[in-house]
Amino acid sequence: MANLKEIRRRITSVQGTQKITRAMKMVAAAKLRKAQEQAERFREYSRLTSDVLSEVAADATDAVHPLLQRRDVKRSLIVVVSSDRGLCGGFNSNLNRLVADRLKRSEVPAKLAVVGKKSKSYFEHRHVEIEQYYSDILDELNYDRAASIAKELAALYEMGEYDSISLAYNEMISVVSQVPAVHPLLPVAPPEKTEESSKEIGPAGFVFEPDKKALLASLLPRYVEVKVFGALLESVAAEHAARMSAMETATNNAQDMIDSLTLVYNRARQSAITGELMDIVGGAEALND
Amino acid sequence: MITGLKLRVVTPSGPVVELEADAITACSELGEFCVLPEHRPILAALKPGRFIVEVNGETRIYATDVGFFEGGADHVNVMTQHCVSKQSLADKVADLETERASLAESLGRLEEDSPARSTLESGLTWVDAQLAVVRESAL
Repeated sequence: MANLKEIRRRITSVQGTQKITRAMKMVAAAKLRKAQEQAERFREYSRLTSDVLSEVAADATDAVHPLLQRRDVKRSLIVVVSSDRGLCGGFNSNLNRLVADRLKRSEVPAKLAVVGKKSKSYFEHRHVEIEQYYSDILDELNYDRAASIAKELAALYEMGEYDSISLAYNEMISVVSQVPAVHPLLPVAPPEKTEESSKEIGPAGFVFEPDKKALLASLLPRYVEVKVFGALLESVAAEHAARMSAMETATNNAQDMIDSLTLVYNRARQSAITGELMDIVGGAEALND
Repeated sequence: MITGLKLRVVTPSGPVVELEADAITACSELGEFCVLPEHRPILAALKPGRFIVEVNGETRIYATDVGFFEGGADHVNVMTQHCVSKQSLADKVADLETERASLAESLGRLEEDSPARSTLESGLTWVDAQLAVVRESAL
């Protein structure tokens, strides 16, 4: 059995770690709330853009705009959205494994564009070529940065560099569940016109200004921006949720460790006291004799 | 009979304007247009410029960035990247001038085919639109 001083030192060390994990959990919870609020504020813009696009693109054919054109896929690009920091459970590793599996199974040459240091280091370590790395996006997420990424991706698609572009990111199912998924981004699949969207933007029979084709040409790049920003927002919220869960688990594990070490410490202390008492009793009996 | 238009101006950062308007004037790619209650449904692409809202005889002026205008008989939804009121712009003229100079300088240093060019150009157009609105309202 380890000596009392050693056990005390280990308890203090675990308590220190527990303080850090608890603080990290609280920070992640605050950041999660902020990210969820930002996503909530963006939701209306995103929904209205989709509704308007569903109206304008209702009877559009592929030939109307290059971003709608479906081509035989000869080269594809996957944009991976991971995180810049770790300590968030399987958030990055699950996503990286999913993308690596996609790359392995892809029948056509597939390239990577990466947001977040974690995927960058994962794929660099495995000697997978990264076509484009977008740095310093996630700390201060704003629409303008997402829009510039979207513009770049749309330009690559229009120039024919890639015939398919997808977004890979963690979807936030709930605070305790984040699921990595790959969603097609380009060519654009316009949202279906639904009863809900018609209700939101009023009846049909619109006057289009300047005209339907020009409106579609303005709307499609905006829709790509909305998709990219939406994915970044969801991924950031999912990252904070994953970190919060991971830190809560770590805090609970630290508490279990402290409890078991305290038990060992008390046993050792008790055993030392018993030993000392036995010595005293033994000494007293020897004197009586 | 419909007497007002429920106006919602929404940006990626959230709703910016929510009010009941009597008339709305916006800048489309073909020029300015005005919408009154019971107007025929309209979908327009907005260019950066002034956005005028008449509320109970009062005129409120905003600067809006590129976006979309969706109007019906009793409502108007505007989706735009940025929207600011002329009041909030009044104190920011110096900042806007500085930002304009910085954007113009960065743009001048970029290659003709640089992918960052369109982002800077959009930024510059937006700053110009804000300056135009604030100067016009100062007259």
